[in-house]
Amino acid sequence: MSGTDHVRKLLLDSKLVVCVGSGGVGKTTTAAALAIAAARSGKKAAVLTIDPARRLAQALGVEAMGNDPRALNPDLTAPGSVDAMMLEAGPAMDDFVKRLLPDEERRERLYANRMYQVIAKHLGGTHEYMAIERLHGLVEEGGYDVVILDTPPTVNALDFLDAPNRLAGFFSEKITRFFVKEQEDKKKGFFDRLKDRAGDLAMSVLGKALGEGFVEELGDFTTAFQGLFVGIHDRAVAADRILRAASTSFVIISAADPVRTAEAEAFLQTLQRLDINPRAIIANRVHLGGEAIPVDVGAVAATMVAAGMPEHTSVAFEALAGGERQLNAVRARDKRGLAHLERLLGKQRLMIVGELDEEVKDRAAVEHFLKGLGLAR
Amino acid sequence: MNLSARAMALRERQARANLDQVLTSRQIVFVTGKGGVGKSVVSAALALRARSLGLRPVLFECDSPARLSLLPEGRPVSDEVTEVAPGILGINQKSDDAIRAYAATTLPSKALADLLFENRVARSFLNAAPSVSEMALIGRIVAVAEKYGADGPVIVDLHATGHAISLLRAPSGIMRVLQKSKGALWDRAHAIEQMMQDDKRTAFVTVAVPEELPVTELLELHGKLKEYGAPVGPVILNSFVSAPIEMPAAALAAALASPSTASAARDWRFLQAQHERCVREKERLETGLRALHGDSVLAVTLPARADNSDERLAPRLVDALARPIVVPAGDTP
Repeated sequence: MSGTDHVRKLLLDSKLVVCVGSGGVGKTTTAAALAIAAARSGKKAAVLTIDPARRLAQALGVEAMGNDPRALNPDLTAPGSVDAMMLEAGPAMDDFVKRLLPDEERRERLYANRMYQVIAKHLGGTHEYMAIERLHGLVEEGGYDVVILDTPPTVNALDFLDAPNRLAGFFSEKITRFFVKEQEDKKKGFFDRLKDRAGDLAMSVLGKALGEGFVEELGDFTTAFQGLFVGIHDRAVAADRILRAASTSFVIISAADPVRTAEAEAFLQTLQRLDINPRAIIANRVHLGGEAIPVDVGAVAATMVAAGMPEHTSVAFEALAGGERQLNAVRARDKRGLAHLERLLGKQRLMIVGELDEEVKDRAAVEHFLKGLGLAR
Repeated sequence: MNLSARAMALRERQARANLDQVLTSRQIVFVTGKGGVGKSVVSAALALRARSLGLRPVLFECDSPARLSLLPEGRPVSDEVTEVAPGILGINQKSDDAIRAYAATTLPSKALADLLFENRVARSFLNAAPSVSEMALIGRIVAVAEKYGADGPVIVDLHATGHAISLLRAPSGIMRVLQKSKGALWDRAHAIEQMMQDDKRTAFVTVAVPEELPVTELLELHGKLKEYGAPVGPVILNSFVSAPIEMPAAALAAALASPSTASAARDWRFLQAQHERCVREKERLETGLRALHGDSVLAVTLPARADNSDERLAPRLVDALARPIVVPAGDTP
């Protein structure tokens, strides 16, 4: 199967495509291009970025992009459609809470809780949790044929893959019960209860390690919103299932320079440790072609004489030969990089997109990309 | 050479002097920027530069994936501070271990710390609780700086920009949660936050490449750093493509039109376009920085290399930093 057939099959068979890879390799462009390709084959697609750096809007030439789905220009996507959206942790969390906590009074109490405010708006990790939640909603209930996910660069993306597990672990009943004040325990202090619980000394040690105030605050938060956590736990477990479903495809995006290929390999190993087998690697921004034949001084002289400017021969030769040397070094490097990437998943699953001759942006970059993958119309 | 070339060279020289001053005077130098701009290799180059200034730097990596050492004569890096190259200390801190190491400093005994970490409930809590892991990492960085910072800077290779911002916000997040009860952890968070905002002890060196989105993101990051009150050092503009040897436009047109020289001429044009893009983005970067910080934050330019990854890169970048800048003659600006 050629690379192109492979991408087509990936798009046709998957309900969820997750684009992973290190920064600067065109991950966001890939996600945008795959969504547009799916739409052009008649699908209703969604593209979601959880990168707080907000690059998808620029890649798609959309003015502003937010938490709500925004349809791309039908010119770009017909006969199907692409809804693009970006995850903003605050509003996504509020929507989520609304669904899990329909009672307005309890909701207001939650919004007023300092721990909640910090979790929702100020701290790392929330993006990952909320992305998974949003993803779950879109794949299961969004009515899309395919959802394409753009992930943040390497290290954060690993957090993201692990987020459902961590969240499910934290909010599982066994854990939260340590924090929850139950009716019969009303008269006892928080730390007394901790010590009572199966003599769990560890929790009081935790209090010492983090400062008793921290655990106390968390206890208040957890007690007030006990019901919420059961919901979060269930959804986190469901989200983890989605990442591992047969209808989900992971794609690793890389460039061909050695730093990026080494990172792609590290990425592959991490995914495999998580029991996830990526379907394809896309090598982007590759300087294609073998080494160019060194420019010949005689040819330059003949060209300049024919053009009536023999006096430029020497400067033109120096300039052309110097440029050629510089680019040949880059081409040789990329050739080695491609050989490395080929070894990772095999030649059939490596797709190559060439570097652009000139800098193009936004939609033109997406079109170039589709052409490289053989998906242009 | 015109006056603007002279002004550019003088600015570049000032930017390098500012960078040396930061390496010499601060205990912690955070290195951050968008993914893929070369933060790790720039961090390694800064450590080499600090060494050549007579300092004993610590190269602090956070959850770095195993890869080739970026330092010449580099030795394996562990989660303890060890000498990783002659005159350079290094540590690669894994998040999980950071929490453990941090808890050990706040607990009376190692036995208690072990008890805590062998408990599934406590572990699970620590892995998921908001800002605990960020706080632990920052706490670890500050502890290393307290121990080694007098001999040279702790150069911290931070993750992508989003992560750097979460780290910065962790102490104030902790303080916010604890504003009622305060206590030892609040005090610690407060001390760390003060350190991170102190321009005598800390600096943030940001890294970008001369492309549109990275420069835009770098300027956004600088807006946030300013809002936070973080002391900002020079920007490193990595992978700057230098101009190909000049050629008259008519000669280029002739070379493009002739089959025997067309492919070389297209390559020359490609390099020229890359160079022009770099110049344009550098100007945009400098304009943006001036709007935010006045003239206090300048950009240090590092050259693009074809083999931009092997262990020789960091030393080459340092050589580039040490190479004198030729200032064209002209009136003093």
